[in-house]
Amino acid sequence: MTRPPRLAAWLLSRAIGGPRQEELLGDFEELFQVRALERGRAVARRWYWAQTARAVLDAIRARRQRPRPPAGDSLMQTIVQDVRYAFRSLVGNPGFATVAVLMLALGIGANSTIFSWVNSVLLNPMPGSARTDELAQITYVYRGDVLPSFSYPDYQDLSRGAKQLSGLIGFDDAAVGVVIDREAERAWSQVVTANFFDVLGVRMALGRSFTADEERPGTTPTVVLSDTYWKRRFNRDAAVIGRQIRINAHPFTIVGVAAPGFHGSVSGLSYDMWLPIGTQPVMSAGGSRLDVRGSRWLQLVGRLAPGATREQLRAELDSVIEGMRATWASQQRYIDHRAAVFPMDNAPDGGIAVLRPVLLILMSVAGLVLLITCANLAGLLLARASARQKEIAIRLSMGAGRWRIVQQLLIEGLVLAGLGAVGALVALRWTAGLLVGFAPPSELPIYLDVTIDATVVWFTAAVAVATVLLFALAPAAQAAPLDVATTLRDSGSAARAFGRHRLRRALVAAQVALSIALLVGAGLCLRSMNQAARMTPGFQADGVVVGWLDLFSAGYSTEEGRAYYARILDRVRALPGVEAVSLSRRIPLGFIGGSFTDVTVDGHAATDRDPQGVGLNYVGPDYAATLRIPVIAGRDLSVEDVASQPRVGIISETMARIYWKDRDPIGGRFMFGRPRPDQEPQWITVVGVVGDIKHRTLTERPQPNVMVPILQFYSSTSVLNVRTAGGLDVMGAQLQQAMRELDPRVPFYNVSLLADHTKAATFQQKLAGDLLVVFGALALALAGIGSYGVLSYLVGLRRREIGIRLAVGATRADVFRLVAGSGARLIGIGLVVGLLLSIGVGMGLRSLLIGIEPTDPITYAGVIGLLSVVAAAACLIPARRAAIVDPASTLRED
Amino acid sequence: MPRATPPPVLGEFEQIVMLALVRLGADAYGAAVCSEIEKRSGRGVSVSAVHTTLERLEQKGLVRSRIGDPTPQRGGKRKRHFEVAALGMKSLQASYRSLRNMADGLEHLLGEPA
Repeated sequence: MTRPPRLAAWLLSRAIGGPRQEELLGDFEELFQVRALERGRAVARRWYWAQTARAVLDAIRARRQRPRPPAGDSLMQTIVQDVRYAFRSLVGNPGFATVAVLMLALGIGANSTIFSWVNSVLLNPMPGSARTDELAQITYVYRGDVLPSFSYPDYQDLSRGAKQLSGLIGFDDAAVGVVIDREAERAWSQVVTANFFDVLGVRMALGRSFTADEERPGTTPTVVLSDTYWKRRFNRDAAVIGRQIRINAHPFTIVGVAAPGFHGSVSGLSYDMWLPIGTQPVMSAGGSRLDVRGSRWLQLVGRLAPGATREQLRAELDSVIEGMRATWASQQRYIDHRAAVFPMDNAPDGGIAVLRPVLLILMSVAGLVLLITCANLAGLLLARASARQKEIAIRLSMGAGRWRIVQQLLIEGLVLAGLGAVGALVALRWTAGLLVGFAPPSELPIYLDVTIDATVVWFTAAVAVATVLLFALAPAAQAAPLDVATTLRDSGSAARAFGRHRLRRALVAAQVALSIALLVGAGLCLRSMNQAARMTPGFQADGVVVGWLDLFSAGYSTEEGRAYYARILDRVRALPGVEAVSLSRRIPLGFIGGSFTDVTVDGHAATDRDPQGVGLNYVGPDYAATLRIPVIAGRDLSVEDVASQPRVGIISETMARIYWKDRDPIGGRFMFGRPRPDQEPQWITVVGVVGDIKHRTLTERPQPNVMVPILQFYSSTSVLNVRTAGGLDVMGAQLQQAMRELDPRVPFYNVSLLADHTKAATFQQKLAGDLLVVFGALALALAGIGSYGVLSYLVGLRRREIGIRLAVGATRADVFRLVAGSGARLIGIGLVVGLLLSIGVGMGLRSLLIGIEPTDPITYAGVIGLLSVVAAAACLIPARRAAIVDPASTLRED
Repeated sequence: MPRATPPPVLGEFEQIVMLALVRLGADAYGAAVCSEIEKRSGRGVSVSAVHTTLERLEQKGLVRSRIGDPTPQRGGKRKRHFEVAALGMKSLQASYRSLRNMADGLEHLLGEPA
């Protein structure tokens, strides 16, 4: 007996369903067998296939014509139906759909954007390295202050003593002059311990990493390039391995290229190359720091051993430091030092330290914006749900289950949120990159690469689902207990208008409250910026053009360098438009913090209450005059203060108060470090006392600070400070020209306005403030539209009631008061709740505030004023519409 | 008591299927109907179309059905036997009558002996 073709039989059984499937299939088989017997197998098979094709076509046609019965459908089928239905109803209401999707795209987009930043900065603190959760930055803590730097001998002791670590690395950054093919340029490098790449788990794309030998001075200098630098400077040429390049006038051999995606061990910065720590003596002007226990310059990052915790590590490091303290007791090197251990996503410096507090605030703010969006949308959907109550009641009466109705409303919400999320992701391609735009100008190689990875997409999807639960549940909940009979009978009379819309009114009040909280946050940041701009940092940055010089990479010796500095000053002073000119090793309030030193003051008995160090800067003549730092006593540094003259310095007011107290500091003496019995103290005489200036932040307490002449002490890299009435363009060009004429080999770069650099000090406030203003404006607009919408809707419902009131003698003023009053009540409740929320927001922002309290009255007054204007508009327009209702025509309407 | 509604009007294929049922009598089931139609009309039929039609006729109350016994030739699947119901007979008669009335006197044109 032949069998029908198997595939056709399978198809047939799929096409034919229902209770009669068996009989029908039996008929097919019987007819097939008869044909096979009478006319042969081939004919029968062809017939079977033809029959199958017809049956399949019939089945498809039947399915299309016959509406599927609602009962007994699978969940999947009803979901597909609901999605189709949702799309149809959205297409039918293009206005509502556009507004809703746009609002959702804004709300979700704000969250995705901030999250993409959090994801890149905090969740991926050291791109390119392995298992960053095992890494920890190690610092000293001295009386509550974090001191991030260690000396190389400290590093060696800790590295040997810490059993909780599987590896410890030390590193420092250094700007270097690189010469490749006789072409000079500046590059950013990290000087690192030899185990740097191994501990971080960074592979080499090419060549090898450093060997333990290379950590010792005197070995052949080697260098590992970053992938970016290798691409840019060597065009990905694999033959670079073994090639020699000149770094700071020394020959270095390229031994490796790090894997792509690794930019260095400091978050937010991107380095071009890494040099082994053994090359430090030839790399920096000050000579070898490798065997100087007092010279703290290395940052440490360790990898926890399997099973070890940060707390165990901290305890162990404390005991190692205890041992160091005992060994070096005579020198008081580790007076009261403890260890601190930070996870990399909460490192005390680098991009993370700057961005973390702001990002955490922004993330919560974005959440608030989303809440407002949801409240607004819930209001819109409720209005739609009321309009659709009849439809829903009809469906319920025809046998639709209540859960089925709720499911459909939720799916409609999901479709909206899905479209919003797609909009958000499209916008994200652009908004994610905005973070980079906020980066202040800096001499540092700032690197903020925000990548949109799967985590960000998942986050966006999760936010979209969460919004659905927030905004679509309210109308669904309202629809579920709907009383069919009442709704169908009821023609939308005004009587329901009040009690029934409590939820919508609550939503309006919530929106007002949330937007007040946001606006207060924005206002506080703006006021901080404003205060910061007015706050004097102790110097006047406006009108000062700065530019960086690097004599070391041009091969200058100390003597030549001092002479060259003097020539630069003479030359620039003579340029037209120059009011004053000076040099300094660092600029105040830049992104790079200051440098600190131990001092011993003649006649001051050291106590434990002394500051751990004083700020130190090497500056040129007339520095105080150039930056307009007031000279309180004595004099500014002058061109006479050169190497051949006695060593002098000027000190800050706070320095004078701490170390000289009632004595006259002018003529007093201090020295760097501590006196050693075997050495004559190198005293420096105080010739002037100047006002305190801010070094790192505008909110820091006044710091003790000393400035010594760069022409006596020398620093091979320095900043030229020029006070001029001319702008950056004119003066910059003149300075470039002058430098080229003096010595074209000396790099003179990053010519910019000092004021732009000191803005770095308010970077956090600017980032938070700008975004809060955007979010706040968004919230205000949403709340305004929301209040207006709800009031207009209520007025619409109450037209009949208003008509009756007018007909029985109410004046138009009464009606106006009635409507405006109900709006004002709502907004008033929102205002009170919002002000309470704002106090919380203010507390959250406290760390970012400059010169104002979290309860700053001006901010609060401004926000209340602004909101009142918007609220008045939102109330008065519907109230006016109510007042001009024509009683005769409204009463005729029904 | 309202007057009984006239029997439903039959479509052409429905008439053919019903005639096959009448012709087959007690032996009428799906495959037999198909074979009968093919044999008599000389045209191929779609088995699924025959079944759809039978199902529709049954829903209208013109045809009745019952489950029969399986045979090995059918792959062990049972049969469904059909029988023309009383209403169906009336419909068939009405259809035939109207066809005959319409054709009356046109026999020479329709290719049938007078």
